[in-house]
Amino acid sequence: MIDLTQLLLPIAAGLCIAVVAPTIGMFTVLRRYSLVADSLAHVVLLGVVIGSVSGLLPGVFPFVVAVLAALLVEYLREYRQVSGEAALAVIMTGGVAAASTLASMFGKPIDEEILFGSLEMITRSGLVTILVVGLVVMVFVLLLWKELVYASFDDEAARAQGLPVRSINMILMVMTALTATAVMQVVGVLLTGALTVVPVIAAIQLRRGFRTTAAVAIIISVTATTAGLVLSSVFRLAPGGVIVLAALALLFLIMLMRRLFRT
Amino acid sequence: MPRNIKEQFEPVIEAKNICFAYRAGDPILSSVSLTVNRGDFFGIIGTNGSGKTTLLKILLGVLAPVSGQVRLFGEDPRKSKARSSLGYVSQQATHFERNFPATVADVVLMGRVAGAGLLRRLGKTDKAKALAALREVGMESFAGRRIGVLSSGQQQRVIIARALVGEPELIIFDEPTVGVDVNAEAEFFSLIRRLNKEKKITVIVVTHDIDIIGHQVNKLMCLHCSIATHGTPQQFLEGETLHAATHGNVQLIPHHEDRGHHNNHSYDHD
Repeated sequence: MIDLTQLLLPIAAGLCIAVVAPTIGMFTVLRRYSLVADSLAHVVLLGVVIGSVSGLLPGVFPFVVAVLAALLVEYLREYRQVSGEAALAVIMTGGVAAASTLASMFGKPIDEEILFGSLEMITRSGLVTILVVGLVVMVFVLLLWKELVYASFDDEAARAQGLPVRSINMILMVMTALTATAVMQVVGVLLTGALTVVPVIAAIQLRRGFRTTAAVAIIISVTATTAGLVLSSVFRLAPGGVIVLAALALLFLIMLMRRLFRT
Repeated sequence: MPRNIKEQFEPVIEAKNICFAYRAGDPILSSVSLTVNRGDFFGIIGTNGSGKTTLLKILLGVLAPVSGQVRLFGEDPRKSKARSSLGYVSQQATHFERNFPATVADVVLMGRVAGAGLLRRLGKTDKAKALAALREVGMESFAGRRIGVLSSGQQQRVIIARALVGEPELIIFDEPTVGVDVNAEAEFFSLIRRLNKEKKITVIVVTHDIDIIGHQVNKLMCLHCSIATHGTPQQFLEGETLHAATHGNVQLIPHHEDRGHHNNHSYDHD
């Protein structure tokens, strides 16, 4: 039998990130910037190590480091004409390198749980942080929804019409960083990117309008996360991998259905 | 003078001695001046890398010039509220992610985002205007289709509808006919001419291809660093400016074969 009370914390946290991750993913995937959340999640590793080495505010450092990294990426892209992809590669490898050096310097190994996620990793205070972050991200995204859609579709026209595209992009990057940090606490550093990207790619297959696609992506993500958390608790597996495999299974199912029912 | 009369005689765009460089010592634009009046069909030609798109960004206040002055509807373009209603069709307008989950109507509505302002949702009026704009370009029946499945010529019409949806006084096109076939190109120009004549919309078209634009516009300007002149297309085509601007790589060959009611000019590369 599954002890449901044990699952309550991870399920609450999981549902929250399952809504937020693909919402942000809609904008990053459609800007051909799919790997942004993945790269920022890698940088979170540095925040985790700093938090554990210093012993101060271990719950806060990951968010701070991710947001700073996101701002740096956006600065390089917007003001230094570095391509987004190159900026991400630099930040991501730099973050992992610093994390590994710092961890070995202080003899603090990087736990597998942080890389692949763990049901025990989610504490009561961790859940509160995830819920607050999720709420903040959703409020910003919903307030800026039409501007984000326009800037994702045609950045230049949006700028020409006087929309503050620079600030909008900056906000999107900060929201992506916050999301990546929250998602990482459930599925682990290495699989964070997948939860922002896979449900969106699956939903796009259905060829609908923007809102419907976003809603379908959230449904896919929530289904995969719930299934993944339950299965990983029953079979005592790392949740990140199971959640992402469930999302990928839904993606392939949708692709298969499309093939079968539309020739 | 009453304001509306004053507005009528005020140039849509007035730029004086614009200089711009992305890197110090490597000027893209030096001392470019131009005036676009109400109702103009204004062409800007220049070779690739001559700073055409940069000039547009300066005129629209997206980039600030290193020196010089720009007035858009009589205001500093960076502060101009009028920007939110103008139409801009960028070179990349039809290069969006092909699977972008947006319908034709969604795309046209984007043209009303800047005018609506932050925190206001687009409503029924906006949707009605979007359909009207689609009717204007003959794409109304496509409103519910996904943008990615249309042909490039149809996508371009949708983007023009998006430019029209804010009821603009000015529409700017950056390389509008790159990657569009000959028929779509002809349709494009007949549509733009109609908007210019019937709706009195001021039009600026930027291109590297003088062939397609020489006979459409009423003013033509050639852009190449310090050389920026404008006058009637005829003066321009026959003058020395074209030769100078293209370093003599382009030779002007007048055609006297009569196609309709006017003589055509074209040019060949050496």
